[in-house]
Amino acid sequence: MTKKKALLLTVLMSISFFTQCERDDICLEGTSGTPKLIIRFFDHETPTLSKIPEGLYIRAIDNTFTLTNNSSDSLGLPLNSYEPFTAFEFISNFDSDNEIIDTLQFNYSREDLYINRACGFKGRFIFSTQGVGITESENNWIKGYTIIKDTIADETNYHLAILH
Amino acid sequence: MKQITIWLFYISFFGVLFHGAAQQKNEIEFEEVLTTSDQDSIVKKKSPDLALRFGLDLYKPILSFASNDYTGAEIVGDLLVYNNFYVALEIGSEEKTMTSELINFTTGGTYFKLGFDYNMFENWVGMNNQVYVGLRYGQSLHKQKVNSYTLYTTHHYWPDIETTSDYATGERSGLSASWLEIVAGLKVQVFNNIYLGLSIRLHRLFNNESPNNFDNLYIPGFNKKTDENVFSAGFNYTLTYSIPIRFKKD
Repeated sequence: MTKKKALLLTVLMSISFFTQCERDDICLEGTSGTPKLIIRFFDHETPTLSKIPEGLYIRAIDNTFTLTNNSSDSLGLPLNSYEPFTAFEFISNFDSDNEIIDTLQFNYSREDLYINRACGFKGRFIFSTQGVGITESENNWIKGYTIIKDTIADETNYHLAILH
Repeated sequence: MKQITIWLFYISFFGVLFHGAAQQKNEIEFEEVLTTSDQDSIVKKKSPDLALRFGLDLYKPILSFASNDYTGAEIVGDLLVYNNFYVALEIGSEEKTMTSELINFTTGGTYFKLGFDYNMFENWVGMNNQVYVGLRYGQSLHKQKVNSYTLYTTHHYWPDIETTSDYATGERSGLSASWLEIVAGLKVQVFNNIYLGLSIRLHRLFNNESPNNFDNLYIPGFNKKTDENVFSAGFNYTLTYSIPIRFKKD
């Protein structure tokens, strides 16, 4: 009888093993996830002319990682998905005598979209009515901005133009 | 040919398992037939007009007991209608919580599977064992609930925090799916009118109503649905009781 029980148990276990065993679902590389805010720098005197800021250094407030991209006139800023706003310090001429720090705060709401089983959900951001705030000071190096797209759904084009 | 060998293996396997019970039964019946020389009684011994068999799946309750993430039950039945053809039905209910990579979700609902089985096993007179193949139409009525998820982000600039409320979490109800199943299995009498059965099933999804901003990652009765294809597999392990129904011949 114990032999029979053992046999039955083996059958049951092997069956459960086969049904529990699942193929690994891996989110394919290249699947676009929660987008970054793409900003592009323009000359404030001729707003159609892109202009690379000098000695640019960007860091998010409440985050120790730094974000810099000095070689290009555009860059992606990772928004904090778990807060309705993210503030960044935009520093021009970093680590020099005429260093200026401008703080930009982005206010937004978030919507999540289902992608697939492996990748799950990705977020997208919608700028609030007061989407961008710049701390005013005597010598802001950032002169203004234009929201190009108020929904940040992908990274194919820039969402925000910054004039300086 | 190969399939027959496989089935022979299964039969012999179960044969060994339930050797005692089955053989005893056969001998008794055989003796009965032999001792009753009256022609009529032999005719009466022949297969009943109808044989209703019903019971339950044993695996789902066991899994419900063993796992915190699953509760399920299935009742099964088949009815011998003509020769070796049986009308077969399964009705079940499942609730399963799964974590699929970044998403934790719960699927709950009911289903039925209706179809037929064709028995290929030659029984002793009066017995109702089966080695069968069959076809089912399956349909579910279910709901999907996203419990929590982590956003898919390619940069890891900010720490990942699980979203446990609002956004895309919550229940999507009133969903349904339909599919076809190819069934292969066997039922062996272990005691008087008590049968143990095992069936394996290949499912092919035909229709499924996708929930709003989510997908049917699991469908009750159908099991796990993958992104890549419309197939899935399943099995059941049944304990059934058979009642022979004989219509009076006056």
